[in-house]
Order: sequence, then C-alpha cells, then structure tokens
Amino acid sequence: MDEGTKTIIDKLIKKHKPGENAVVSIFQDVQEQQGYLSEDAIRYVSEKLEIPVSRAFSVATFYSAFSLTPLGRNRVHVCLGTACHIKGADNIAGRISRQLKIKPGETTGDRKFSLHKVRCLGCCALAPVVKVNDDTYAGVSQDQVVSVLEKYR
Amino acid sequence: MKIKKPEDLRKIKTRGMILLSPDTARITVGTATCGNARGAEKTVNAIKRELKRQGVKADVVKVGCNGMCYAEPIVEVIRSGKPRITYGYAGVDRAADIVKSLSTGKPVEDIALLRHDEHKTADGIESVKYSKGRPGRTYSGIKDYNKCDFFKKQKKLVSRNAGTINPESMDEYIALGGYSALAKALTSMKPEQIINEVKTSRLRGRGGAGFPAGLKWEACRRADGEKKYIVCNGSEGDPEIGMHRSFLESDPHAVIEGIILAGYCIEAQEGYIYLNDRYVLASERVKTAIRQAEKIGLLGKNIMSSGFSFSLKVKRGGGAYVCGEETALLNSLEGSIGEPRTRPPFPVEKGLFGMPTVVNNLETLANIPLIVEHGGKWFAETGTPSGRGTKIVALSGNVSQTCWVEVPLGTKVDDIIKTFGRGTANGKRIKAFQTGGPSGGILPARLLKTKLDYDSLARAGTLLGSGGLLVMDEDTDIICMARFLTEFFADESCGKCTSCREGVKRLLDLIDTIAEGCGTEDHLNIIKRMDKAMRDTSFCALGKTAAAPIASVIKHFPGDVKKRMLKQ
Ligand SMILES: Cc1cc2nc3c(=O)[nH]c(=O)nc-3n(C[C@H](O)[C@H](O)[C@H](O)COP(=O)(O)O)c2cc1C
Ligand code: FES
Repeated sequence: MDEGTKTIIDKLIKKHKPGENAVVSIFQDVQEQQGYLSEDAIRYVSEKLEIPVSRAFSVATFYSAFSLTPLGRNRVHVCLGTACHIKGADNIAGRISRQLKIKPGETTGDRKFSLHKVRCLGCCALAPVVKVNDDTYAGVSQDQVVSVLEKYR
Repeated sequence: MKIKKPEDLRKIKTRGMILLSPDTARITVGTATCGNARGAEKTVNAIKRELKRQGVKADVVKVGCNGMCYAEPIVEVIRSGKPRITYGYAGVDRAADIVKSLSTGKPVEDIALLRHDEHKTADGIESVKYSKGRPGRTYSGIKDYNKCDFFKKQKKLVSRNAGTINPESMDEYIALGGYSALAKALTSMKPEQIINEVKTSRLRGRGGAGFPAGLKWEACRRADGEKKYIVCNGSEGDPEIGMHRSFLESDPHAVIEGIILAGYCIEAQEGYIYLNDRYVLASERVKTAIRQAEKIGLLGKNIMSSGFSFSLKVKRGGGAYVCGEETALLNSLEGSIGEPRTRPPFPVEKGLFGMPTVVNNLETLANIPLIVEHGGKWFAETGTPSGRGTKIVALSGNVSQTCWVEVPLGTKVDDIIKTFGRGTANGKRIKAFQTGGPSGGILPARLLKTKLDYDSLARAGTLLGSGGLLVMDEDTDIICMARFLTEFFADESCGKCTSCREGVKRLLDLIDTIAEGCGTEDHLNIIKRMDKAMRDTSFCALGKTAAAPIASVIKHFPGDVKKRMLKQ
C-alpha cells in the first residue's frame, strides 16, 4: 500500500475514536474515499486498531456496503425492493445484466460500470427505480434503461 | 444562548414564527429522498433563478415530505395574509409560473392541490395563521386542506411538522412547540413520573415486537450498571418502506427530543442513533440537528441546570437487514458483525458494551414528547385497546397514490388503501396485501377489513411491524411474490444459526420447484413442517418468520398454488 493511502487511512482513524465501535465507521469512510476495501487497507486498519485480522475481514465481508474489489466508474443501482418488484424490477435488472454482461455485485472488465441491487431507494412512488451514480431514473422500461446506460459510456 | 428555563424558548419561538410566515414570501420545496428523486433540487434552483429574473423577493426553503410522495416535487407558497398554497408535480418547467403567482396574486390553478388557511398541529396547541379574513374568489377553485380527505382522515401527531418546517432549522421546530416537552420534563418532572405517564399512555414499540415502552424503560432504570445507553433504532432494512427515512429527513428534532427524554428517564449518559447505511441525507440532517441542540444547551453537560448530562451520536450501519434486530444492532454498534445475541440477558440488563440499554424504534421515541406534553391519558384516547396512538404507514405497490400517512391505530386496512391510495392504479381488483414488511404474511382481499393494530393483524396472521402496507392487484403472480420475499431472507440471513441459514435456502429450492410446475402435495407439506421447525428453532425473528410469506400463500391462495402443481 502506498504512503498516500496510509496517510488517508491514518486521518480517518484519527477522526473516529479508536477502540469501541470504530471499525465499521472507518471502513465506511475508506470505502467512500477509495471506492473499495483493499486487502492491504483491511490489514492496516486491523493493525492500527489492534484487532485481529480475522475480525477485520469478517466485518469487511459481512456488510453489503463494503466491496473488496474496485468498483466501476459508474455505479448502477437497480432497486429490487418490494414496491419495485411488483412493478417488474426483475426484468429491468435482467436487462441491465445482459446489456453490461455482469451480474449484480460485479464490475465490467473496463471498470466503466458496476451493478448493485438495492432494497428500496426510498422513492417507491417512482417504481421501478434505477439510480446511476447520483441520478435517479423513475418508472423506467427495459428499453429506456438501455439508452440510459449508453449515456454513461 | 443556553436554554435554562422553559421561558427561554419563547424568544426562539418568535424567531421561528417569523420564518414560518414571513412578511415577504416563503416558497418551500419538498426535498426528502422522494422529492429529490423527482428532481426537487432542480426545482429549487429554477425557482431561485426565476425570482432573480422576475425581480421578486421570497425566502426559498427546503422542507421535508408531507407524505404525498406521488405528487413530488411539491412546492408551497406562503404570502403574507394569503392562504398557503400547495402545488404538486412542480417540475423545473413550472418554476416561472409559480414565481409569477407571487406578483400577480393569482395561484397556478392547474397544479394547485390545496389551500391552507391555518396550520394547526394535531394537538391543537400551536398554529400558524396564513389567511387574514376570507380567502375570496381567487382561491375558490382550490381545495381546502381541512376538507381534503388525504389530510382530514389522518391524525398527524408524530409527523405534524413534516413538510411544513425546514428540517435544518431548530427555530422552526421550536416555533411549533418543539422542545417544550423537554423543558417541562427537566424543570418540573421526575424520571419516575415520566415513566408513569408513558405507562399510562400504553405506548407500544413501533419497531416490530410491540413491547410496552414504559415497561422497557422501567426495567432499564432498575437495572444495575455504571453507565446506561439509549439507542434509537433507525435501521429500517425492510425492502419497501422509507417512511422513517422520510420522517427523519423532515423533522429530525422530534426524534432527538424523544431520545433525550428517554435518556433522562433511564439515567443514560449517552445515546446513539443507528441508521441504515443508505440514509445519507437523513444522517446529515440529524447531525445538523444534534449540533443545533448542543449549541443551545439541550444536549451536553448539565442540561437546563437539571444535573442531567447527555450526548448523542449518529452511526450508519453497513447494510444488513438483520442489524435491525436489537441485539445484532448492538453488536454492529460495537464494531462487530451484526449477528444477534442470545437473550436473556436482555439489552435492558446487558446491552451496549455490556451496560443496561434501551433500544427503541425511532417512531416510538418521536411519540414521547407528545406524551410528556399532554399526559399519558390524553395519548391513550387515540387508537384501540390493543394499540394506543397513531402509526405512520407507508402505502406502496399497486395503488394509484404511493404515499405515507399517519392514522390512528385501528384504522381499517381497506380504508387506508381507498382514502390515501385511491385504490389500485389500473382499477383492477385487489388480490392481496401485506403488512409489516417481508416477515408479514401475504393476506387475501377478503381480510381487507382487518384493523391496523397489533392484535387484529396478529389474529389475521400477519403483523404491524414497522408499518409497511403493500397492495397487490389481481395480475400479481402470488407465488413469484413469495419467492421474492424468501429470496430476500436468503440474501439477508446472517448465517449464525443452522435452521435459518439452511432453511431459507431449502425454502427457495422448494418454491422454485413449485413455480416451475413440478410441485406436489409432498412439497407443500415439507414447507409447512419447515415453517414450524424454523419458528421453533431459529435464533432470531428473521429465521422464525422467514417461511411466513410462502406458508401464508399456501394457506390463503390454494387456487393459485394448485394451478402450478404438477399435473398428474
Ligand atoms: C430481522 C429483524 C429486523 C428488525 N428490524 C427493525 C428495524 O428496522 N427497526 C426497528 O425499530 N426494529 C426492528 N426490529 C425489532 C427490534 O429488534 C426491536 O424489537 C425494536 O427496535 C425495539 O423497539 P420498539 O420497542 O420501540 O419497537 C427488527 C427485528 C428483527 C428480528
Ligand atoms: S422499493 Fe424501490 S424505491 Fe422503494
């Protein structure tokens, strides 16, 4: 791990009181800043917080908010909450998968897109909902979703 | 300035009132997650641009959600002495019209949903008067708020401020009676006295299990421990309900006031608000609110010279449904993976970091200021014997109007669907509904007359849970629905106990077999036996209720199941 990343992590560790419940919060920040938790980052945090590496890894792998591989430049979130499911979200998810040739949880080879399924984006009135980065697409059809993705290529 | 006595709030109150109904004009835009998804931020910017372009003066304020999520973005206009007008579907292209209405005095009729002559909190104590005199003919085409079923049939106690106040303004919260309960409690009530009021109110938990809040607090108060904690459960991992998120984004101080009161009663020194990892906006707004409360001394050392010191922190989870379960949540707060703990000992004896802890749902806590202000007896007048007070309900699925509302407990399910959801979107017949999130059973339309309260729903074979209400019309493939919910449990099972971890996988296989048309009577019997086994042996309620969706489908929709069975 390069020195730059180390300094970033050091700063994040300082921000949260060490001990106690800091691991989850620190990982959250690392995930946000680095886009993923690298093996080195996990080991480094466990060393700094003086917790077993196994525990750091169990936390990193338990929560769905953490990714152990770098994510794509564009993050496609397809809502598979109940309200969206009723409005046919499965078909939308399937169409995105076929278009990008990846399954939920994966990233395209060129790192342009990663696909995530989420359970409710909090705007059920707009179901089915797809979110790309910070842009929300409401009531999308299978065809629309393809042209939406093209915009981010 | 630090607040020392109840009267000190008065000055802030006056300031807040001026913000709520200024001499110039106030334009509000609903910017909770539902509004933002529809482009509310763009509407805000467009309105600001138009104000400049047309040379009109007005405060532009971001508020939360009033529950009418189907009509987002929602914009409201308040002009001195004139009724407050609510506009729906106010996209960027309507900004010019809305701003123009300020100078012409003529409302934009085609998108005007409501007019509001006076805003009264549901407890009737506080009010903001908008209209002076009768509104006159200019407004006669616009529906009166008090005559509009969508609001008339609600009882907005907890969510009284949502959509009206700026969630980032403590002054506006205080203007409508905020923190007066806390001031009253800290200066004139003993913790035991408040706990007694909460017991009299018969307030039950809004997070799922429905445990009486007063008893929980009393147990924690009696427990021994050098420190005590209060934890507000804002995990809300159910896959369809965003109403608690919406509520927090609209009125964070209401929850904070409840938490401080709870902390005072159990003599906690610290509190945590645990939020779903996706609740970024909610978490920002809550943090802002905490800083504001600290600044005027309602959080921190020796609050209002009462000798009570209390601090509050916000933590976001890592994205796991099981972390809504209180003991898993505590593990997650301690920085471990969110697996549930063995109970007993219950959190009130040994909770966070081994200390006595009260875990309450955020809606439970938001009820507390009302109970302190008006007394437990007043509170218990609303609702039914099995559930006093109101419940925030998120209505979604195949309804014309997806929304969230607050109704007295005991309101009939089909009244909620008809009044607020306006029936199904396509006029089709309702086939089924589900309450209480994924753990609730899927119930047939003939049970639509069931009352929405703890016992009535339990008798019907489902639960109140945290308040989701999902509607399915006759086109819904009910087996596919059960499969979807079971898959959710399969994704979210934490893996700690065998019956849940393996059970959900086997259930999914069995449903697939049935969905593919290869099911037999034997498969159904295995599912029924598994439902019982998982209820009896799973570690926490996630596993205990994981078979509920499919078991209820087998029970209530035999025709649908039979059609899919192997033709022999
Ligand atoms: C799998 C599972 C998920 C839960 N999710 C939540 C939740 O999101 N919010 C919540 O308040 N309670 C949730 N609960 C219930 C909590 O364990 C607990 O009963 C509740 O927070 C207590 O607060 P109350 O008494 O105010 O309802 C969940 C329980 C289980 C078993
Ligand atoms: S279920 Fe998709 S936004 Fe709520």
